[in-house]
Amino acid sequence: MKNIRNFCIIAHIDHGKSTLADRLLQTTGTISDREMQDQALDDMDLERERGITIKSHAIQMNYNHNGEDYVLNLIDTPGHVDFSYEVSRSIAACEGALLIVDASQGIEAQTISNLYLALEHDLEIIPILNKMDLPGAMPEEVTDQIVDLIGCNPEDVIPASGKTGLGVDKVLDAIVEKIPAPKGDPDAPLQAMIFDSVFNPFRGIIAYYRVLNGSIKKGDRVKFFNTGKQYDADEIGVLKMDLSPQKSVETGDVGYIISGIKQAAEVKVGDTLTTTANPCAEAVKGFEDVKPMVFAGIYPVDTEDYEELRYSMEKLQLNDASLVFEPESSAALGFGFRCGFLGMLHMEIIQERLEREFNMTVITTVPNVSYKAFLKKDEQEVQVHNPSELPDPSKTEWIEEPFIKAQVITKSDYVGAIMNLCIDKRGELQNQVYLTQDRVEITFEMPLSEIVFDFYDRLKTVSKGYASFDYFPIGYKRSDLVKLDILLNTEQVDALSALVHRSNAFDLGKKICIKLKELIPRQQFEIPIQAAIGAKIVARETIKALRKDVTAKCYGGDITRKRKLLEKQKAGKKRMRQVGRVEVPQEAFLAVLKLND
Amino acid sequence: MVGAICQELINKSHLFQEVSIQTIYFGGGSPSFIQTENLARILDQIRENYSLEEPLEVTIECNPDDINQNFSDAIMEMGFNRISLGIQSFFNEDLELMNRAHDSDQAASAVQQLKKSGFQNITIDLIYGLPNTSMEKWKANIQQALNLDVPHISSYCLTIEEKTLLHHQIETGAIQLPTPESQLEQFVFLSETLVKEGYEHYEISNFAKPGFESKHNSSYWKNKDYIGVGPSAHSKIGNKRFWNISNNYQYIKRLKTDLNVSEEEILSEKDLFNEMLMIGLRTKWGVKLDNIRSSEFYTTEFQKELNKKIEEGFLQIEDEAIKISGVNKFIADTIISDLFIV
Repeated sequence: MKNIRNFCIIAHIDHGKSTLADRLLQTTGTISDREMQDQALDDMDLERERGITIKSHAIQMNYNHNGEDYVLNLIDTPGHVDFSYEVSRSIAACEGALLIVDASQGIEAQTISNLYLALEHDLEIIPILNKMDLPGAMPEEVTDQIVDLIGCNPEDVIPASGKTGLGVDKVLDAIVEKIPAPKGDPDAPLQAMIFDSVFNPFRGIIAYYRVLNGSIKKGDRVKFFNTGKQYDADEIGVLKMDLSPQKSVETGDVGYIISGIKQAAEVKVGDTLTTTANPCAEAVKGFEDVKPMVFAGIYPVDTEDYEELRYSMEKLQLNDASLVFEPESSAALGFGFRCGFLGMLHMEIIQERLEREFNMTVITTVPNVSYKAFLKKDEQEVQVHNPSELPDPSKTEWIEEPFIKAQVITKSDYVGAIMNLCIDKRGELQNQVYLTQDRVEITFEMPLSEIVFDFYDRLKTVSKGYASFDYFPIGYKRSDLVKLDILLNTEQVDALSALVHRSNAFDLGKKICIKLKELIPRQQFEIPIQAAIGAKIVARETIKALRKDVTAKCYGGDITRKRKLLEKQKAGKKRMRQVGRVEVPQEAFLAVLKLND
Repeated sequence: MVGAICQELINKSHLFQEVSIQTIYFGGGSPSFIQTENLARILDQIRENYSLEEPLEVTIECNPDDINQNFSDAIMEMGFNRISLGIQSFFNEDLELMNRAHDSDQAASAVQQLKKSGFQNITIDLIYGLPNTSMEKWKANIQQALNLDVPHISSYCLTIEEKTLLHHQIETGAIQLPTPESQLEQFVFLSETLVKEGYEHYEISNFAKPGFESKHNSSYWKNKDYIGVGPSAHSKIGNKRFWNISNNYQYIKRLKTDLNVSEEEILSEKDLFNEMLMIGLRTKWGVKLDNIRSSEFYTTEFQKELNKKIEEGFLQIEDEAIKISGVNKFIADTIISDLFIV
């Protein structure tokens, strides 16, 4: 146990976490040069393209330091705010963390929030200044930022480059020398914490855990504290580049278990694993049942594909327990599912995976957060996951919506613009701290729903890309919300309804109408677009009737090309949704999110 | 090039063994630019290798500035009996915008010269929907065209091709196109005026006095077979359509070395059905109900769409055929595409 080191990596997206991790694997011989794929830790295409790790992984390295063999367990953490709970469990499984900061970028908001998490768990922090090879590297300035932040000495900061291999040996030495060995009682009953799970189509769910006390042996009868479910440990082992089966996994080590579990939902991140024969007395602290934060309808483009969509979603759920869904129906879109996601990125990922892995083209409706409505009669609480579920305003005493605490780190030049944006988004400034002379951390509270509406894009615009953002939920607050309905050709389109703050309703209604006018093609008749609150029309636009769509010439040489063009036009129309008489393209259903494009 | 064209005429003659030729058309570019001897050589090659059927329609597209007495007499002599004259507009500013070499005076004198040489069957092209075209200007253009007293007029709405200067100028706002509404107004005025003057609106872009419809173009629309020669030329025999490569140099080189110059597609039943709708609905003849009903694609879904279009007034049934009614011709693409089988 004294030669085991468990560590994770804290880094902002694009600060070179994956490249540096690859170097560690390469230098320790865990992966041969020949096997080395770029960013070996991210094995989903989607992750590689987005440059972020969606699902955390773990890998074990062997390293000889001063004549002694060490086992280094790297626990990879997801790099996005939507997955902050998973990050917190990964961190809880470690004794140390590499803090990787891009020498040309400096510290970002996400780095800070994860760093705070690591400090809460008393992790030893090894600061690394990455991308030293870049011409734009500012080692002194960024070192100062790191020193300010964690209170280390400037000489503790290791200059490194995942690209050239600079500093990799020093990082490995620091892992061995600085990170404490795990503590735990090898003779105590088994107590292991689940920090991740993956779905394997042949083997079912593979759960990853850190053994805190005792040991797990092949064939043990095990149970999960939280779900209460029991399984046989058919196979246990440690994680090399592939699964490496073992007879036992001992105190302090990181391992996996395969026990015939079929669904990701049965394995909850943060849950405690123990044996039925000699169970531990307490569960590992910090378990949370993660609740979805953002809800949206997902509908098949072709109504006939409903069953196939259900099948695809069930498959996705096998390896993504944070995805929840239940059937719903919409007058405009037919049968589909109301889905809950951890956040906006999670929603996008699910949508993309449906398209890539299952070849399902879907219509996603305007996302919303989960509201609480309190009825006049008995102040009974009603959960609202869909604007159409909102009880009649006359019967509602008040509505509450979820709020978040948000952190933005930016250059001082953009503070004014970002404050304006936050005020615009119903935010309240809490704090403003200068991290260095020109880097500012702004903290404010705002409704989560405002992030759903084009917040990221606008933040990026007003800060010219120089702002990083992180948030965590802080509970529900009372809000003056109204349901904004959209009517196409005088028919209300339920899939376009949204709950919005009363003060925004007129403005938003106008913008949505204008956006829809842009997105819905002219048709053979005039189409009024209206925004309404209850019976009151608050905005109106008109799509004029199609007047001209005809090819001038259609002679011998034009016929094939023309036919193909019209076939394409028809195929495109088939993908549209008929709402009353109006053909509505898919992107129109998300119009609300792109009001400032 | 002319040698290559003559060679291709020989190569393709086996395709028209059984049938005789009813129309010949020199078009697609500026055939009036070719020396008259060469035009004659090509015509002779056709006469030698194909059987021709009288009355034969022989058309040549001409630029107004290429028409002089010598040329006009020569092509009459050779056997051309129909002239398509690319006048486009009687306003010099429009002609400049379109990079046309002729001016408005040449347009009128070309028609007079052609008539003097004995041509009766003359068609002229007019363009509308041009930038800065007011209704007054368009009316004046049509009046000028009527004054020329020709039996056939083709009129096209300006089409903006991508990657052209005009496209760029419109994108950047340097030039403004008339709205679709005013383009429609111009189309409606054109159609109403010409019909009043005794022309028949027999295809979306074509108007003819009785007996002067383009036999050649009508044969495309009646699904007859055709062979095209020269770079980019298209042919259709039965359910096979093929088209030549467009590069002049490659075209000549390949013909010299006896290599294949064309690509082809076999039209499926579905393609043929779609084309029948696409072409037929653009004409006064429409699409015969018999031809639709006998097709495997006459499904309930198709009938539903068809009935919807009839109920909404976009299509009508007349003489046992489906036709696009009135001003709806101006949105023919959408109507046709909606009926397509994909």
